[in-house]
Amino acid sequence: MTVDRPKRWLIPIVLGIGLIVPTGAWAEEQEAPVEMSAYEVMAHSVKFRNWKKLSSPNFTVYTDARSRRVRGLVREMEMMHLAAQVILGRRPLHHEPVRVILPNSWSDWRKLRSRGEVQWQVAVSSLSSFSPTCLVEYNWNEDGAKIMWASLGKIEMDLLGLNTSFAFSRGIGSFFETVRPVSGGLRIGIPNRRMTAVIDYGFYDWSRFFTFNGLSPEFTRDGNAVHRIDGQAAVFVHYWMMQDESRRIDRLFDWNARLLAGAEPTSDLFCKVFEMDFFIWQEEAFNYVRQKGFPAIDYAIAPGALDFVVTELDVKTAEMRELFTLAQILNQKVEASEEALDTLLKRGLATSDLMPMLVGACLEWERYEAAESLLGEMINEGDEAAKTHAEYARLAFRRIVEMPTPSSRLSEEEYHELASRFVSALAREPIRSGVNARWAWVVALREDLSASDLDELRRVCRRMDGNGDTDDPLAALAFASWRMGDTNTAERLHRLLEESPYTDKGVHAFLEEFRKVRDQG
Amino acid sequence: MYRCIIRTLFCLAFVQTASPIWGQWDGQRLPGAKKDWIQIESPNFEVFTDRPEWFGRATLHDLETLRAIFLEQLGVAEKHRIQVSIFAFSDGRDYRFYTRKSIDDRRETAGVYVTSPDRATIVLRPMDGQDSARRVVFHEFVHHLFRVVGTEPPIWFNEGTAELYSGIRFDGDEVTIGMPHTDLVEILRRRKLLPLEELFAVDEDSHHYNRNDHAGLFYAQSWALLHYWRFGDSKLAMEDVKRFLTVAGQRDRLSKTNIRSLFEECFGMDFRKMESRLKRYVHKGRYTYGTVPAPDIPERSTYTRTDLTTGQTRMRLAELATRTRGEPLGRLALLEAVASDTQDPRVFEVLGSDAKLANKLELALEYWQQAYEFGSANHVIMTELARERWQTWFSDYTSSLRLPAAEADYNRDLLLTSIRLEPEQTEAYELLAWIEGFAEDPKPANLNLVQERFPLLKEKARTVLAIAMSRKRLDMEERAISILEAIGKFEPDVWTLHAAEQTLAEWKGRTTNEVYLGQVGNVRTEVAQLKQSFTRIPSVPVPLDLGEPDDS
Repeated sequence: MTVDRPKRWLIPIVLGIGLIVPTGAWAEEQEAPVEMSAYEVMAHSVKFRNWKKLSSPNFTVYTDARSRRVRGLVREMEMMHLAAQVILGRRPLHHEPVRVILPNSWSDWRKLRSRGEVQWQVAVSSLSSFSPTCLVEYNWNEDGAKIMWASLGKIEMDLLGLNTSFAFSRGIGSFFETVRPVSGGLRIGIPNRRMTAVIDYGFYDWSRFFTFNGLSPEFTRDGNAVHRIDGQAAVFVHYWMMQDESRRIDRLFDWNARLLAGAEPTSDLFCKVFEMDFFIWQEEAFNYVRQKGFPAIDYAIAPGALDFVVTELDVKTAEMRELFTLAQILNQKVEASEEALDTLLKRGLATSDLMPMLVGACLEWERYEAAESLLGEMINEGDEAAKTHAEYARLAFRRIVEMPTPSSRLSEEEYHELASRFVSALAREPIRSGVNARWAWVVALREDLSASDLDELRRVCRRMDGNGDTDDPLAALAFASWRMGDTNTAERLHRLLEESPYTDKGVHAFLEEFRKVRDQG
Repeated sequence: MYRCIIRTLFCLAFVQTASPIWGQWDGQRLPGAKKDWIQIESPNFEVFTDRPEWFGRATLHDLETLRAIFLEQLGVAEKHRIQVSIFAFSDGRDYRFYTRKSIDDRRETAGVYVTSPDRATIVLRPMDGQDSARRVVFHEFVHHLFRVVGTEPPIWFNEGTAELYSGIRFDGDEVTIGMPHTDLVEILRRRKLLPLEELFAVDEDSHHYNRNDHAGLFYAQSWALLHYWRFGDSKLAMEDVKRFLTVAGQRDRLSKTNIRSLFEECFGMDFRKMESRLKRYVHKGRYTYGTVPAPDIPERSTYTRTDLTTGQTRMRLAELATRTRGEPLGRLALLEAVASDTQDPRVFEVLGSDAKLANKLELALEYWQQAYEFGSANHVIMTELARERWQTWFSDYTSSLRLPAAEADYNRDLLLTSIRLEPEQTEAYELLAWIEGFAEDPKPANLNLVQERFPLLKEKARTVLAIAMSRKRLDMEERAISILEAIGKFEPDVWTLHAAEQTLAEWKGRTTNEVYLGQVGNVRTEVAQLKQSFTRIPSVPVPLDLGEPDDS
């Protein structure tokens, strides 16, 4: 396949024709002039030569670097994908390949960085939770791919269906950042240099540390604080991931789940999970980061596990321009990005492969209607991706239900609209947390609730047990049981949820309302 | 790294009710300053005293003997030696001024031990019995020795060993170790022993330790256990005892193991069995002791004596007051001396130490700089100065750094002087390696000095990195690379590992991702696509009974 070369000599004529057309009959039949956003104008100023798409089962890499080099990286990405599953003990959810954009040092993409009024962000960006895309914009050719591994490590959590708290997410990124290929596999667990920040700047008090999030001033402002946070997160995750005890992952998951549910990170709670309080843990962490010798672990890849071919296709310039534009929309939270999104939505994408990115952009910019419409189109055209169907169902839920309350009810028409979407989503990936949580509410809020609906709710609860969030499904079952007259089950489940440390704030809010309704009879 | 530790000792035989009369003293003078003081110096210590000369010489000779015995018996060397000064008072009221914690502090102590960044100080109260005084000194000195050999023992082992060696006796050509302490035996016979698990777990926060009372059961039992293993008819092989203490006697090694399992593996019995044996020993056992030949150390007659002038006495007491209590009178006297352009390096050493403890690092360095320039003989000062300068240059590591010639030369002078004064230390050699590694013109003689000392150094991995750098500077690139590639054997910490990888990557023209110098642990095989998850994601547990309809 050949790269489209823009036919420069045609442009003046085209424009010329546009200019000399008189007003009158012809003018009325003409379409409005093509609008281009600032990003598209920029993208049109370069040729995007030699870009190709290298694909493996789980990754699609856009690059203009030498194929031979990138093929090796793609195989390493696949190895990391395998190793992450084994280390964390979770099979991945059904997913589309992760997109990685890997411009070369002298790439057109890089040239565009120095132009324009927009501000360019960090070296590696993880764009769009809907269509995971890792954009690598630092000089990986010379500096190595480690920062890319950090970003891919965080994306892996999403592929494995794991929600991560802030500390865990930062720590996991640092843990995977130091992945190294070795003969026949990967070396994992090399200590990250970021850990030394706690030697230089000290540890935060742990109860405070675990309350930090992406909006905390300590994280967002310039200075040593962000290094300290990253260092401390790196120490925390590295220590527990590398302990030679069978329960280490369980402990990390447990702590993560409690924090996600809004638990206060107290010393007592920490002790419950890790069998040491903050005082003892602080001493452990202090000594750990200063210890001599951190043995890493080599993961050998089983024969046949990498039995695939990395395919390579040339990428058309048009696709690259659209990719560039979408990447900037997702990466730059500025007015120009919103304008570019409007332009794209108006005009549509020429490259159907990039539709998920456009949907992702709509979601990032809260254009939910547009996103839902695009997803509908994609499904009509035969898109089978699990996440497409899941998101389509989620947006419908958002539109129709928004937030479940004890007084919410779904008409049969609403129920059937939602049911068709959720059933499609579940058929493609049965244990995605968000889908099951919302599906449970769809069933429980149905106007004409029946015994078979209760059976379905029980199936959801059992399916999610150990595989994701069960608080929403159990709350929905409690509610539905009460509606069906089984007040004992309702009360039992209600109390279970109220007392559990894994019940999140949203479900607690529902339970509070539910309690009032029941007390009123 | 350095802490000011004031250890206050209580000796059962000498607990007295506090005298309400503190004595009359002129607020403008330091107590004891009007008396005649002498300084006596032995190879490793100095004593300042207003007591008779024979007392000073005897005290030093005892300490020299204990030091030699301890190092020989435990098979260790002083890696972090600091100078030790002893102040022995003839007047209890003077002693109390320098050692009380506050004006209301009425406790009676037999001695005080203080560590400062640059020196350890022992203060002795006048006592009726020489043996009692000796016991107190020896006990504290053993703690000091543990510190300077670079060992951090758990508290029971620290106190037990201190009590064991505090009973040391000198009989001409022999030294007796293990003389039983009757006061401790009394306690053990009267009280129920602590379970061993509890004894081994005592830490700084434990009430057993914070009673701070040598009459306490904890101290007595710690002594008794070691005494039983060493001198009792325990029928335990010394190799087994050594094996246990090699791990259990060091906190960092102990933290990586289970003491109960270690105990059972070494002794072939559990805690309970040993507890009952110890109980039998305490109640019915015959207490034996051992003798070793007296170490070959200089005679006490060879120690030098200096009669101090009034001014010198005042400075030494001002030093003592500053070190033990941060006493303003002491500090004022020292500052007055500085204002009068004193060139006594010791004054500046103390003021620097005082500033360091108050976290005034810049001021501390200024004072120590002056101490060095006035000819200080305290190697710690020079090493501290060099270390602070090192941190300024190397906190953000870059292999292309070049130390300006003047800076390199100055640091060399500091470190070589420090090494000359104290050849057995380790840090000065490590720092010297870094200076040579980043100097424009590395000095091979200095590198050889470091390499000769290498087996005894603590920070081997960092030193390897520095030596590799220096080889590169000396145009020995292949050698430099091979040295650096071996750094993994020396268990580098995170900082050193990354600095080494960054350096090697630059030298080989690769990215840091392509270089790994650390260790590899287990090799796990057969990583493949998971078909099923085996880790649970925690959430609200789903009950088995979800309210299914009754099908009957």
